[in-house]
Amino acid sequence: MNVPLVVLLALAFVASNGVLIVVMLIRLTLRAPAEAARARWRARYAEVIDDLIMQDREPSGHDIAALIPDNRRQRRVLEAVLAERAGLLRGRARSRMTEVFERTGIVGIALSELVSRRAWNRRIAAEVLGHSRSEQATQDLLLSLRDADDDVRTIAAKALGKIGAADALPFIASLFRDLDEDRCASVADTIVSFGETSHVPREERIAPLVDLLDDSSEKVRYWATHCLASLTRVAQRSKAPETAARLLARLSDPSARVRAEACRAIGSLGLSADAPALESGLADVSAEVRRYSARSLGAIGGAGVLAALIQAMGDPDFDVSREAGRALIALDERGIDAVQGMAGAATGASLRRAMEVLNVAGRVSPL
Amino acid sequence: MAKRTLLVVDRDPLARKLVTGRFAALGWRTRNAESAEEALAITRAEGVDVLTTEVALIDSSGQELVHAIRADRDPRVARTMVLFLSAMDRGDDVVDGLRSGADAYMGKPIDLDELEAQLDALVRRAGMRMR
Repeated sequence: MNVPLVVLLALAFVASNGVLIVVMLIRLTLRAPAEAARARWRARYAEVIDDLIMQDREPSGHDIAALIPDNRRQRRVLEAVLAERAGLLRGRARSRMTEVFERTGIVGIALSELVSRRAWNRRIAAEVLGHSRSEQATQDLLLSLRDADDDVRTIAAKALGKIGAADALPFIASLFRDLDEDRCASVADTIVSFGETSHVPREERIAPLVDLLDDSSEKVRYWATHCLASLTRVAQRSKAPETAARLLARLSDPSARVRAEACRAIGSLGLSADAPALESGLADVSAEVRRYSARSLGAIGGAGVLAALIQAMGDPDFDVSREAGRALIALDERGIDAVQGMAGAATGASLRRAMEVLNVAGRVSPL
Repeated sequence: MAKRTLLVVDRDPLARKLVTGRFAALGWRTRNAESAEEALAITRAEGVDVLTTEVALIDSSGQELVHAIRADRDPRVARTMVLFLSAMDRGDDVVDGLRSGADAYMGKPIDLDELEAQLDALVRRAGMRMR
């Protein structure tokens, strides 16, 4: 009997869909009890851990025994419960979370998984170690900064940041060399917020970045200056001129984004001696560099910057002109007088900018 | 001595649970709310000694809550001591928070010992104001 091909295909389609529906039903049937078990473990772990936090007490042997997971699924639940609380707390309560991470064996297991053959396991292990803030993990995480997997290296850097292992900073900063832009952004966040809760001084974060300012890679120079722009605000004043000198050299970098970040960083340092160099940035071919130069000149202040900022108000780029106006307004009364004077004399686009700046500053235009 | 009352206003249920739990263990009477509206209602109905609030709430901002408290016609409500307990703790955030009328500002993650010391100081200050 000859069965048409179309009928055969239709039958195959119906049969395969039937199998899929059966598989989905089986999975749904199995998932519900698994979810319920996870909710029970979660409640059980949370009860013990929250009691430690609320009663402000050391975990006893009995507590640890109640927390030790029997299998991998329970361990994942316990890790999540601890991670939530460790992220929300600092001080003694956070240290207690670290102790629980260590005494329940989670840190030990994560350290062994850090050398797993599967990259996925290594990523999870690095993440768990970061949540634990356990100093026991520092050496192994340092080795993971050389992992073949980009994500493992990025997550290991983040974990070291959470632990606040200051010795790791030069190695973390060197990741800018071989990671893509997105991961570099993550590493930059790690460096900027490095060990905030363990009080790693900002100066310790600045030194390895300054060392990268002359790197041959544009990407490395950019991310180093980017981090410095966020860190130099409260840099140790005695070392500020030294850092500024290295940043000033970046104002002639061939990359516009490096020059822009260098302007931002110099402005954060706030040394008046740097104002003339920043004024030259107002003539840069890149509007972004001119904009950051104007902003930084406003931050540095002083009588010398007034004329340069008034001139920058006439910049053909709207954002540069507006930034210069805002910098003038922030400067002092003379800056405000200058903008008001411009609003009185200007026409067209220049007038609109001056008016907008005065409006933002809550000042009345002379018109 | 009457129990001091703490109201914790935060969108995060875990933050509310841990802070109220800790201070209940320290002998405070504790209440919690996830919105400004709820917080204002509790403050007006029950009266609280100290209120901690996040900046971002589900229905408005912590600053708006502080404005509403300070502008309340009931002097007992208007005098409530307010501490911002927020993940937004950069310089500008702190300045904005304090200028809105709050009495203190603390960043997250939360150090419960530091929070205890801050709240004790606020209660002392409130006592001195009343004299």
